[in-house]
Amino acid sequence: MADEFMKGFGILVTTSLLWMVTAGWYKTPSFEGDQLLGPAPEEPDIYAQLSLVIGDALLWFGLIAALVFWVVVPMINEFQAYRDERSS
Amino acid sequence: MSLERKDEHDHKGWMETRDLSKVESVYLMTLMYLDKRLRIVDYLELLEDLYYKVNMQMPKSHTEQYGLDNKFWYWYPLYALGSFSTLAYVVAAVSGALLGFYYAPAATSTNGQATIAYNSITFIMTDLNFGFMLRSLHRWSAQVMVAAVFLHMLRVYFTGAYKEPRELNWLLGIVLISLTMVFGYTGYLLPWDQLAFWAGQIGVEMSLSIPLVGEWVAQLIFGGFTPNPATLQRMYILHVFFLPFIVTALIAIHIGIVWMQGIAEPH
Amino acid sequence: MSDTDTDSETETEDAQTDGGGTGIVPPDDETPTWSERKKRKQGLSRLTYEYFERSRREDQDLRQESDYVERDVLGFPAWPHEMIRNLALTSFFVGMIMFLSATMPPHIGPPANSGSTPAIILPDWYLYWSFGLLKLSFLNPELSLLGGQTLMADRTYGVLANVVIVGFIAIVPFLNKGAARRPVEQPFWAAVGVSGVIFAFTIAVLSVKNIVPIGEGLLQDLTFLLPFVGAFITYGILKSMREGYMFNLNRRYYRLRPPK
Repeated sequence: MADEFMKGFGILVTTSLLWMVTAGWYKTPSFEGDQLLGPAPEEPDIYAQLSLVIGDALLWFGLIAALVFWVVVPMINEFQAYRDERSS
Repeated sequence: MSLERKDEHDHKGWMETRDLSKVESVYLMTLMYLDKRLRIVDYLELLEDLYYKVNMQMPKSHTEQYGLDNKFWYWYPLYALGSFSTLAYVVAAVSGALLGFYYAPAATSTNGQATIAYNSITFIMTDLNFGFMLRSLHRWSAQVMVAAVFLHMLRVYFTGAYKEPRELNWLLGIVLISLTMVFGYTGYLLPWDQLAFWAGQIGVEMSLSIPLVGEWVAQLIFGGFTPNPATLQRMYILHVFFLPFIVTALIAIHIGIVWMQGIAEPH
Repeated sequence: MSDTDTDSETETEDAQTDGGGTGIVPPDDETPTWSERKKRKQGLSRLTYEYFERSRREDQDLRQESDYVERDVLGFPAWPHEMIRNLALTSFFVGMIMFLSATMPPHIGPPANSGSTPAIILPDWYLYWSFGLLKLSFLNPELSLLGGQTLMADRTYGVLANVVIVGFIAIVPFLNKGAARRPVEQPFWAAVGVSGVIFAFTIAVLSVKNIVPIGEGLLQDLTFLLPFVGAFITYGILKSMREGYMFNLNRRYYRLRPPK
């Protein structure tokens, strides 16, 4: 169990660190007001576009990884253990 | 013929029985002189022990010792948070000492004019070579240290590591976490920008609301009943003079106690 | 010399309750004694050892005269195992600090101006919980005896709340005693801890206001409701996990250190 927890946690921490950098660069128009979740720049250049896409991808990857390792994988394991118990 | 007893511990008498060259006897005299005063035997023995322990077999890890689930290894980062906050403290200390070369805690007004303190921060961030890296290193290591200290406290709480022989270290830890936050607060006020000024305002009001001694506390720590140039001066002295000495000493004691008592066995 | 050796060996064997010993293996045949080291050397270093041997004997004589007793404390040694592992792990974290400071330099606002109050007055994030406790004036009891007057000023009440919270955390070791270590062994205290963590977050949200788009009254209720919800859930989960864990715990752990 600890194994799955730490895998999900490690991925979540790493991706959200990188997401925070991209969001801090491109989605924080000013200190006052929305930080990290602010509007994207109006006319993004190629670097901004790339960073925004990578940032979003990382964020979702981290969230989904956490969900998979903390919820889905343990549930599958539980289910398999339950089925084995039933069949034996 | 001396009147002193020539016993087992008469090192001088022992030296005279030996056939020593000039170099040897001068060396031994120096060694004895220093050892008598500084007990260098102990320190040399420590060094030697370290040298020999390099070849020593490592102790068993928790997992081996108690036959725990091998996956226990994944929790180790949580057990390194105490060391990590110490290391972040060291990083903050070094970068802070370097920042101190360029920062002056002087302000003459609070009327929206850029003061000397504010200008020195602007200088560090825009003109000084590597200055922005220096300041952000200082700020980030402080932020990360506070976060690590909080998580360290949670780890200690949830693994019950504060129990029986370690209650005093828990109390010391409460003092340290509070002082860490005071450290952060005093540092937050130093740029003397709008955020700093109004955070100072909160602090002044908090100390004023302490019953009976509130006004004295506000005078002592903030130098007045509203944030003013004296407040900046006091925060600076707290941040670079008082707190470093106190916190470093307390961290040393905190770690020393952990060293003496051993790490609480994580079961 | 050989006498003391056998003595200490039997002693350590007595202390081995888990069959594995303390896990520290002193390589007796590898670490040379002072006299062995002396024999290998010549010249100045030999003299050093000769003198050290005498000095040691002097110390030992003095020590035998005194009533100095060595004390055993149960715990895992900090050196070298823990420290080496910690240094390896923390190096990565320091790398993270450098990465963060290279990519995200701190903000600097406009100069201090006592004439214009900014829209946002906030301390650093780690003081939000304390700042939130200052905003608890809605909980300040109004005493009818005093004609609707509050017992103390709102600010005083907030400062007092801080003192109470820190004080409670400080006396935890004196309230929760016993040999239980893991959360499953002590579901109640784990639940208290979880509710504390949740309360730290909810009170921080309360202090920032505006951060969540719900009404103030609801926010205030949630601030105090959510910690209890978290505590009950934690307690339930740990209580149900407990039975399955007890077998393993009995096998490995209670045998080593029986509960008081």
